[in-house]
Amino acid sequence: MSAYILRRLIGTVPVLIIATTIAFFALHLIPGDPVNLMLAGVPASIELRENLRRQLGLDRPLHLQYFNFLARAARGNLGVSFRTRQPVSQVIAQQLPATLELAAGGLLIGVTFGMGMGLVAGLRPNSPVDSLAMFIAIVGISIPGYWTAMLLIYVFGLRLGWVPIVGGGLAALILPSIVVGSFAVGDIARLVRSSIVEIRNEDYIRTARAKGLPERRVILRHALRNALIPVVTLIGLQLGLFVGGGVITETVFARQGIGKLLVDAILEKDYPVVQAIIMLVTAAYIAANFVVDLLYAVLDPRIRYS
Amino acid sequence: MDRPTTRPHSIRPAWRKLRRNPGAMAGAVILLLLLLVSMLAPLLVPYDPTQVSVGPPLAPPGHRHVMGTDRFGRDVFSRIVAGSRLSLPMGLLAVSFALIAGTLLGLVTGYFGGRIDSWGSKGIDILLGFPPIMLALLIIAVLGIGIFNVIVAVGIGGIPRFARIVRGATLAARENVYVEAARAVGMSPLRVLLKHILPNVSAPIIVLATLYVGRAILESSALGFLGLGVQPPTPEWGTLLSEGREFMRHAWWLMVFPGLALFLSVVSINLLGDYLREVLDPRLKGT
Repeated sequence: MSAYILRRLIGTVPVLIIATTIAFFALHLIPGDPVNLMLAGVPASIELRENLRRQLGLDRPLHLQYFNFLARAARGNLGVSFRTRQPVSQVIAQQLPATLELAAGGLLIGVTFGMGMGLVAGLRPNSPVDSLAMFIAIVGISIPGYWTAMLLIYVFGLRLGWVPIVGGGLAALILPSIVVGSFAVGDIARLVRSSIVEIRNEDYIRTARAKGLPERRVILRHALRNALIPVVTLIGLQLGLFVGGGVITETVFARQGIGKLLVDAILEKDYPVVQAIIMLVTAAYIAANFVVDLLYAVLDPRIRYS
Repeated sequence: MDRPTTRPHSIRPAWRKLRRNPGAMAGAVILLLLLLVSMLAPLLVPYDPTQVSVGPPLAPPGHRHVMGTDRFGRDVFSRIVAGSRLSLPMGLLAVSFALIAGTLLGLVTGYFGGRIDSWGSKGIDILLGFPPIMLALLIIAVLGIGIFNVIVAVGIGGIPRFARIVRGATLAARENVYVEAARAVGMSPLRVLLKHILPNVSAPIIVLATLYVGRAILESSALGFLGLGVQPPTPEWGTLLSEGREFMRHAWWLMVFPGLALFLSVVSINLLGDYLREVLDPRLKGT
């Protein structure tokens, strides 16, 4: 098992490096001088510009800039934000907790409702309950997240005044979590339904019933546990959705976070920040899928890694 | 030997069964209506969609303006109808781009195998490693803001998804006897791919394309909403919604109607795509 983990970890290095390389060169293809952007129209002497360029390392050839960047990144130094002149790692660290809170809230809601709906639908396939659940699932996939967000803010925030729409705290996290979760509910529900429908007729389910286990136990311990495997994969793949959901949700709710930071950094051409976020998100994506692989073995004892 | 005798996924029965599925039927009707509206837009709009002060600013829905007016007194209904001419084609073009590039990549990697396949598959994996919205945002950061760039940004995210499915289907189709026969009589790889492999992998491509159109429309409008896509004053559903957000407190109609248009388009496409998946390709379930 530990040899497997080590091999997988080593395998992620090239993917990360390639992703970072693409991002680095892509961002440096962009026309426009970062120094001009930093000065934001303030008049400055040629000398001052050259100084700034040297400070940022922009006077060196591109390939040297790239190796410098890699060497610094490997030591955890992600450069300095063009906009605020703060270290990028510090800028990101300030925004990260808000995004993690939101992702956790979204995951909780997405998984709870998605699994619930999928289970109810899968146990009674082709019943009215099933049709209703699957209709809700399609609506969930088709509704634009930022529109859901606006409708929720309008109804529960502005008209009814049940929840605060700005500020921190758990209450202000409710609506954004629902929005982020709604991105995943439909997909999870559909997947759980089809796994349950398939598993219902398996031998081990019949065995569990035959030995007189209560129905609740058959469903929860035997059916649902096996149905979880594809669902866990899906959640790993959907981490991107949670991040993407974060970009939009943070903007609509005017929350702080990595997504909002990324959009602002793109609009203001703050490339060190864009670069670092892409690296971070890609790494998180890879890590999530890695954890998913390990979870398989926990869920299904037949799977062994060596 | 020139024509495959059996096609595992024929498209014809799909249309026959369509009438028995109310959800898919509703999806098809709504979609047809929306496409008609989009095509006939210049004839349908009561006012010039970009003309200011055709009514009082922020007038609620009523007789003269069925969906109200915005802050500049422009007619919201006219702007939404005009927006359909951008939002729908943008999604369709992005998917076409992903479909053509992804299918080519999938056919080539699946058919030739060997080193081409192992490099191609690595490329696909790396593209899949980027969360789609990150990829789109990165491409927008590089190319800049604009309609064409949105299409490319949304399309590129779809390429690895098409490529993966086509590659798998090609690997299976390659083993058919008629493919072997076509090769044995000296048919060129290009002809084999186009005449014998492509028809056999078309069902999963059609299903994925239909389901992806909805996602592409949502993604391109999201970019518009974030200010990274179509720019105001051009009416596009995402930008209309971002204007609606500013006036949420005072003018609910500015956010409700464009969102409804967007939702109806995507839900009708997804209902249809879901049905096609069931009929044409049960293996695609859960993708």
